[in-house]
Amino acid sequence: MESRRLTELIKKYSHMIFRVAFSYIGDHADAEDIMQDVFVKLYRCEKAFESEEHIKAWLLKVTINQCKSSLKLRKKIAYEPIEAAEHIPSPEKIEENTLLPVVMELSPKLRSVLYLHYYEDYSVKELSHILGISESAVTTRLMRARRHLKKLLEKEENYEL
Amino acid sequence: MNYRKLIQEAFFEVSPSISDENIMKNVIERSKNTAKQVKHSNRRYIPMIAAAAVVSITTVGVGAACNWDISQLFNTHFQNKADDYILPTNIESQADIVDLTDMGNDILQSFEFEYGRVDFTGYISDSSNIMLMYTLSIDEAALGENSQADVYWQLSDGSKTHAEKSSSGHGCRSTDNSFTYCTTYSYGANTLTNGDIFRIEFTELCSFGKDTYTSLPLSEPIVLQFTLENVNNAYKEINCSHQYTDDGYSRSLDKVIITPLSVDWYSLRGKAAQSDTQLWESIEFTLSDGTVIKNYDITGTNSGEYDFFSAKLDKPIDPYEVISVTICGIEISTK
Repeated sequence: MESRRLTELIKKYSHMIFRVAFSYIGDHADAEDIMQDVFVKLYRCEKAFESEEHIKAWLLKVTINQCKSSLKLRKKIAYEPIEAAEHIPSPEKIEENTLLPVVMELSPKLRSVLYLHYYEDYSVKELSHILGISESAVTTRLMRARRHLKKLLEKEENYEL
Repeated sequence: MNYRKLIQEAFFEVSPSISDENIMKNVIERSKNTAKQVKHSNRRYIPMIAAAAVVSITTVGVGAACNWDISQLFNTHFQNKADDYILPTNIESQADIVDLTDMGNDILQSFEFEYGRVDFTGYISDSSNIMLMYTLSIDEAALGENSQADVYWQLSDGSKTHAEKSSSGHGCRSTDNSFTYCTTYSYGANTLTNGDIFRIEFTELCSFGKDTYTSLPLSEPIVLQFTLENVNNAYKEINCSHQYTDDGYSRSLDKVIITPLSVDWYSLRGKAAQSDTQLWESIEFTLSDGTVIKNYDITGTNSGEYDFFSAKLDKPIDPYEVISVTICGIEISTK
């Protein structure tokens, strides 16, 4: 891929990729690493993309795969549970954004599907393709994620349902 | 609750700390470095023989749900089943029904013993069952005269050192001398909870050939123990009283319990009756979307005056999605 084109795509998609990775991994530094890994793959990719949507879907799929690999690697190295809440950017941000720590208490698969559906506006069918799972599995994850999130928010005294 | 607004609010300020220019710079740099990397060949496991000793190599447990992809493992197992299965089952390929994200737990305990090595990889559990997965690597040289071609080796807990009512397993041959197993231990109705200790002592290595069975006692038992976490406590209990005759007795089907991993039922034995049927071997159930599940593997055992049967499912289900179950020809609505 040409450098100029890559620059355009970084400008356009870096935040989206970062947020997807962050929603999955829960760690700011790791999410940045994953984002750059994804762009390295894109830079070296010789695939002929059919459209802008095709590129976006490809980037999301690669990001999700990188996240899965990263979690597996982390397990092998650290042998410790991933405490999402510990990886949230800074204490100041937590105070400012009371919702993020609550969302990050969900499991990686649940919070990433919530993010992709509600923030990036992907339909169940599109998510099925991106995540490589059946539509019913996407629906189940969304349902479970909403249910868990509702329970978590109910525990939060400051949050009005 | 407006989830869209909520998620947008939560992630609105999440952004990378690195500028687009620096991303570009790093990508170009990393791309050059990556191109120079030499691909390493896969490491090969060479079995160590620890005569008359069982050595615990790693005993590190992971405390929380860590996305052990049991769905994928299930798929691998049952896709292989048609070509190379160890125990006969009625299981066929079936689409994923439930998301197992929150059920998978790593164990990461490995043991070397006189005939090879076993790696306990993970488990899932619900309130009635524990499904344990492990890979067994056999050192043919250590088997000596017991070495046999085309047999399937597996670990057995012999005299049943734990309290399960029954167990059944499925496995596949990974390589010539390596076997991967899913074994489900069934404890009966709604008995397991988070914090329970699962402990099992494997005391022998067994082989199943077409016409042969070999049992090799281990010099020391392999003791696997862990604390249950992420037990999926979804279950549906149906109390009923259906009279029928099967397998030499008049019976009463009194209770059915559906969990993600099994459909269990209790059959109260009455008087001996003329019957040569084996109706208990046939069960099917219907989900709310019309799907009819017929894939299972049944085990049965005596439990006092009751016979306890457990149909292990090839893919976990959502018990609340089951609208009816047919057991021994009796259709029971679960609504």
